[in-house]
Amino acid sequence: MSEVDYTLRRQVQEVSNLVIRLSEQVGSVSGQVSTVEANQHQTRTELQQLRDEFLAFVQQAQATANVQRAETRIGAIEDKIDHEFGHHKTVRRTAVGMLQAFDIGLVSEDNVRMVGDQLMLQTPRYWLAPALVALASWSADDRTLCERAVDEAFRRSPDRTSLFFALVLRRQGRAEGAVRWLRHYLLAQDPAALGREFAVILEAIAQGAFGLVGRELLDRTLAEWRNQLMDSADAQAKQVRRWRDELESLRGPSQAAEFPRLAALSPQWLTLDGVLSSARGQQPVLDKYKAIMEREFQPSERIEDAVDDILDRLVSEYDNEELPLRRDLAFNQAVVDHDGDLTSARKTADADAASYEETLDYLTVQTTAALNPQAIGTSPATQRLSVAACHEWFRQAHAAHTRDYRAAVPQDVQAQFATSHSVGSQLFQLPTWVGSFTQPLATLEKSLSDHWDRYTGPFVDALAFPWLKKVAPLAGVVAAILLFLAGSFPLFAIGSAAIVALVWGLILRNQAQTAKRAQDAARELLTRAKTESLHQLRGASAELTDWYEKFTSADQTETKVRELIATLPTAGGGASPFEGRTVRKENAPEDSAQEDAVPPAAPWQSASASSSRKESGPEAKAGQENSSESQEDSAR
Amino acid sequence: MGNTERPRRIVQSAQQGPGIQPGLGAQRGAAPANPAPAALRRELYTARSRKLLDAVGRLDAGLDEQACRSLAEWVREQYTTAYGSVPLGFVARCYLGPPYVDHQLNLFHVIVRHFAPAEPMPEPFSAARMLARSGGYAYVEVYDDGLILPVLDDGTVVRP
Repeated sequence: MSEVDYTLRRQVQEVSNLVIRLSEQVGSVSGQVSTVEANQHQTRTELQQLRDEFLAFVQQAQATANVQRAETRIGAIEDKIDHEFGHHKTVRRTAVGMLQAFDIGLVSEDNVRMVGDQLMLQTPRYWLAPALVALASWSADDRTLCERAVDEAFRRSPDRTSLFFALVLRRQGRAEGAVRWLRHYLLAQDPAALGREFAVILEAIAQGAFGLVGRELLDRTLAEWRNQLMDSADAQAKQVRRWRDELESLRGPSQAAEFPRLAALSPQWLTLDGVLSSARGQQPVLDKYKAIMEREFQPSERIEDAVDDILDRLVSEYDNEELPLRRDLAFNQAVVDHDGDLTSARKTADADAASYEETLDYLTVQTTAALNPQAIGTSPATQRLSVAACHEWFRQAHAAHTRDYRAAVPQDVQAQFATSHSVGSQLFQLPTWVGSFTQPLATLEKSLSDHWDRYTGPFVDALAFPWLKKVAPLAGVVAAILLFLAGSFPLFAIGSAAIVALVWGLILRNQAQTAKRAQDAARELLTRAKTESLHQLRGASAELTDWYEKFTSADQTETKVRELIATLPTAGGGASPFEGRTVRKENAPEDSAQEDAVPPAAPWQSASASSSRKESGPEAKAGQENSSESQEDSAR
Repeated sequence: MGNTERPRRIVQSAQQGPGIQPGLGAQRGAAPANPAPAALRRELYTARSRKLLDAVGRLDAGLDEQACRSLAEWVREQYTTAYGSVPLGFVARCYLGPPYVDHQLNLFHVIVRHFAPAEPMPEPFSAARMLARSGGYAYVEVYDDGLILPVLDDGTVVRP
């Protein structure tokens, strides 16, 4: 009996040793598992970080590739333009060169004619070549040839030829003939579909190139056009839209780095960000237009220089067949300017698409001269006048832009929390909490804290060791041992029951301690998370106050922009924006003659002094040409 | 306490509908609901006169009921004759101090109501709230077709 008892006890002892060892091993495995878990967590964080960095890198690489491609394209397009239209350049240069050569009388007529003939042969289909032949034959007093050449130039490009001769005659002091060509040009124009060369008229106004009579004519015509077009609400709305696009393009970048907590917590962040970007756009608008209006510009001293500048612009303005290439060029340039951001580049290019149309209405010409003078080839002086002329659209667009972003400020900015934490082997998920910053901060904090407590309490409690559930089987086993064995082996039954109870109890105690530790850890972790989220809430609230301050201060610049726009109508000089400077041709030569004591050697003037025949020839002829052209045109 | 609405002054008895006392007003109020022709719209966008701006500013300046009602009548009259349509009311910045940030003036009920930031303003006035609060406008007109026209301090109207 005692032997059996002894063997049994030893075996029970062994079993209990095994159980203890097993429990130790389980403990060590559980330690390893938590290490693995920590490692995995770390790995996941690093992976996430790596992914973010990788995405940023991809974006960066994409942008760089875009910029490089755009730069290559720019080179290719410029080459193509040069290749296809490069020969026009020679003609363009020769035109102004020829006029200047006439001024100083250095080149023989034969040479001028020869060059004219040569260019006529080399540049087929280009309007300027016959115009040059006309100039050369005019100076050589060859009337029939001159008429035929003017005819041909007029056939190739009536508008440009009219303008060209108006300017040339103006340059040579034939005011009457110049104004006749000009009137002729203006009459043929439809204000709703002007050719691209019309920008030259604006330029001439800015430079005061057409003298008093010409200016009156232009004033009258343009005012009439303006009234005609302003009747259409659509045309106006289009211009206002264009100015809106300009204002939007000057918006600031995203401010997420400045308000990190607000950006992370508030569902309204995107709106807030957009609003602040728009408000911060006021300062660039102010700076840009102040600079434009205050820019010093040096008017040319002599009418010849002024007209030469304008002629340069007229002849170097892109011809219609160049436009597709120019449009492509503008887009690629925008890609480079936006550092490879294709979306913004497309937006900029689209906003400016009107500048590269074949025909423009008068209002668009003016807006383009104000917003993108390069696109139609006008000077900063013209830009200034045009900005002044567009003040009404600028004002409307600015007021609407400001109203829109002000109205977009969210009435109710909220904070939103929803987190999950892995506690040991379990995942704690905090359901979404939403609070509005219109509440006082203390109320918000209390609400968030209550929200945490409401969900963390039951979660932590659930981690407690379930004594009742665990002890019940033990009690059952002990009772069973006592029940079955007590009758036959009472001592053994009591002994084994005690041993089982002891061993099992030890194991349970071990488990309970582990559970307690886990519970404590969870409680601590969640308390930390709660404190952290309260900090974030406080931080976001502070950032929101900061945001309001920054928004208000950025928004205050609006008044200054409004004041600047209000000064535009008078800043252009004179009540009408078309009252440009007038260069007085009549006095200029006398003045310079007196000052420099070197008489200007313009061929027609020197000719008028020396030979009356030569002087009267071209002038009379020019007048006749003009009148015959006018008649022809009206007949057409 | 801070969140309760505080009607400061109710001039007309509440059961009087918008159309009862100002019989004309009801018709005028209906006017902008029709698609207004361009000419009418253009009239609506002309600058508001200084006198009108002052009058609207005085509407909440603590006048007695009778004065306030006659002032509102005058404002309605002005809008009908000069601008062709009468707004439902105005929203403007409130200078009473915390907790109030803006108030709503209803031209037909002649009610001034002040609002704290957390209080919602009834439609269609709500959309004009942030404009009024920005402080950039003298007041914001609200029309019954949802049209919202901010009026600058110099009387200029910001076109939609």
